[in-house]
Amino acid sequence: MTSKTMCILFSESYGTAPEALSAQRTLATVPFAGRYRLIDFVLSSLVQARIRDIDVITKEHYGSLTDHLGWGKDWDLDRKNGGLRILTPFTKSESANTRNRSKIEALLSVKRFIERSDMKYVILSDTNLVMHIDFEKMLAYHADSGADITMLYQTKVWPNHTGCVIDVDESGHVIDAYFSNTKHEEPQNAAFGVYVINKDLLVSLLDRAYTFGWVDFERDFITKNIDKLKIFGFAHQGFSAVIDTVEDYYDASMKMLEPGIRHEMLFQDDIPLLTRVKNSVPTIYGFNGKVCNSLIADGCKIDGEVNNCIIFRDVEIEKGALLNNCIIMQSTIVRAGARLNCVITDKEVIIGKEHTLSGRPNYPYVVAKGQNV
Amino acid sequence: MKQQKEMITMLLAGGQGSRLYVLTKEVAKPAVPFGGKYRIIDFPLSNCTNSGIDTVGVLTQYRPLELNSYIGNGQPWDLDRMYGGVYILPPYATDKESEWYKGTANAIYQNINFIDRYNPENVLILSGDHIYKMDYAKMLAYHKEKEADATIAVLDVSLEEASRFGIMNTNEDGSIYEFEEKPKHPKSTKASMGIYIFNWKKLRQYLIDDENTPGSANDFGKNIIPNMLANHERMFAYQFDGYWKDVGTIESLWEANMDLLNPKSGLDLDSDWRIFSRNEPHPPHFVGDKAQIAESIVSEGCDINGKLWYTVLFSGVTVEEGAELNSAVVMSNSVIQKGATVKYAIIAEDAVIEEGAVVGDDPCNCSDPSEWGIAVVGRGAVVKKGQVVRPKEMIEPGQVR
Repeated sequence: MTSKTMCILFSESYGTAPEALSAQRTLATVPFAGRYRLIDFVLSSLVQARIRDIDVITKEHYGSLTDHLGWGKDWDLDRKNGGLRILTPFTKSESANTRNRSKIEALLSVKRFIERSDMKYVILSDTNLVMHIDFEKMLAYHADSGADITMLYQTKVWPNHTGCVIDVDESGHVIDAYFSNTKHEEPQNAAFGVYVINKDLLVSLLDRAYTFGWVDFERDFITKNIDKLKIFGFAHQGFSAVIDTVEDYYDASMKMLEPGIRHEMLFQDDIPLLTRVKNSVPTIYGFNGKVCNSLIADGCKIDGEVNNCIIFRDVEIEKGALLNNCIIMQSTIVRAGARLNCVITDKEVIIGKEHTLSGRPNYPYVVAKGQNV
Repeated sequence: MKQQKEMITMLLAGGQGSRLYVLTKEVAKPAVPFGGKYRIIDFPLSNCTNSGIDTVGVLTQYRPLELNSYIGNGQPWDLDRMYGGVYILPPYATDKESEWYKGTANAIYQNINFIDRYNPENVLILSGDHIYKMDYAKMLAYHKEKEADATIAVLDVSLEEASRFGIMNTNEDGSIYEFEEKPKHPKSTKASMGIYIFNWKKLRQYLIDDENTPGSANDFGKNIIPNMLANHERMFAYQFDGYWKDVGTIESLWEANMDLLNPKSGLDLDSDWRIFSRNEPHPPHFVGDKAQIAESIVSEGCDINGKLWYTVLFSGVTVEEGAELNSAVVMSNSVIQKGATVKYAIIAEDAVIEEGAVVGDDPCNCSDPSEWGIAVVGRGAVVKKGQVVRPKEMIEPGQVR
């Protein structure tokens, strides 16, 4: 089953994105949980399900993506057949401004490539998902139900959810799908941007999209065809978060400090979260280091006080610095006596001596990459 | 593609390291873990890569499985090369006979074919049981400048220590006139570090002659070096100053780990001279709200809620609430349960120290210094609830105490 499946990942959401973190990189490579990039979650889930033919569609500023993925070695995706491919935009210069504005356009740009594939099923997935997806079960469900399209969803209370909501009947058949940004305090069937679709159907839908000028995947592929196609919903079990905004990012990051979620998402030996392996030295704690309820990556030097924080690789926290509820990305230096609360520092930031920065949990203060504060 | 190599490395990694006792019951000494995420062999391999040497033959013999799988295709050290790279060279059978590596020189002798494939001008001989950072390119430059047939790296040791080493007595120009193995009354303090550069043509002949000498121990220190000296070959001592430690004993292995915590020791992993290792994608380590960590090294995947003081933790170690570690080295995936105490000890991989158990003790609490030593718990061993492992004691791999 999984050997007949290829996967296409979108490095961008073609919608909202946490601009402050994804301005200089793809959404897929926003750093997460101390050493990962967002794309590691879906890639690890795919590898876990033995799906070994994976293409990543890029749009722009994908340097960080090629850098992170390389030729897929760290996910065991450096294969002779299939493996990992990064599909860079292939367009003529005159159409450069209009390329890949939407998921459908992105798929149209690689349509010939999809046609040539001898796979039976295609998984289409976003990469801004913090969750372990059971693709093996989802594919089996797709085949057993005889669906044309299977979409992943979860019934949960999700007040800030913006996107596709579906109604399913008892058999799992999707009977309605619509966009919603209404705040809900009760559980709803929120859809993730994760689909299993028969390859031939995808190709013919793309032909129609080209003919009719369709651009919106959910509206044009799903809702418009809800009566024509057999569309099924597959319910996700377990933790999930979708990173559309900086607030989503901060919230999902801080959830990793909760014991149950941390173990489910990061510390499960039988569902390893794979990522690019680097050669950092272990972290060294100084005499004055004081750390509480925090995730600390390798290569750090910690001599200050750190509470409820996520500290990425090669970060230096000097004596007398105090950090509460912060996310400190790679190679940041926090100088002596600095005080940070609810701050996200992007890579290679320097926070000067005795500086105080503070944000709010629902509005974290973001320091852009390379800034010297 | 084929070209003569200026220098290739032969790394002697077949030793058992019997003085590491329970730590080398199941693995060869070079594969013994060190410093939170390394193994001893990472040091010579990384030194090679950083020195621009791209061909390394690793001679294995004792319990090679783990060492072989660790080295793999050499990718972590950038030694996966089209022409050259890292090769595991075990002893082999021929049409006439099959024999083990009888000595260090015999091990190289049996691999003359391998070295000849690269037709190198010089061969660097290393052993896989020392912790140090060294630029072999500088040593090679010295070797060439002196037009030497053999260059031996030496380190200044104290006069008391000198009788534990092979000592090189040199002239003013650095040339060696005498070699004394563990002399009672040392004339100099230049100790051999077991790092040799030989002109390959010369060494090749000496290896063949040595092999044809009945009763030879086929050893570099005992046979090859003295024979070359006797024949007045051009032999020079290359002075090294920097951190170097033979980690052949439990105490020295423990000390070298502790040296990582001492900024004055001269052993700094976090510098431009990077030591590479085969890493796994563990999550960042987690520090709970009951944890206290000072002057310690912690690797990825650990889950810490106890007290650490002068401790080195390898990846995936769990330290539960109320557990106390002082001057301890705990290797991968071991668990120190609630209220357990580990002091001045080495805990090997996958061991479990159950609730309230005590392993090792502070030398200050030991009235008789001869009774004191580092306590060692072997791989996969279990120290049951409330049990005590005294200083100097060793628990065999897999044993339940």
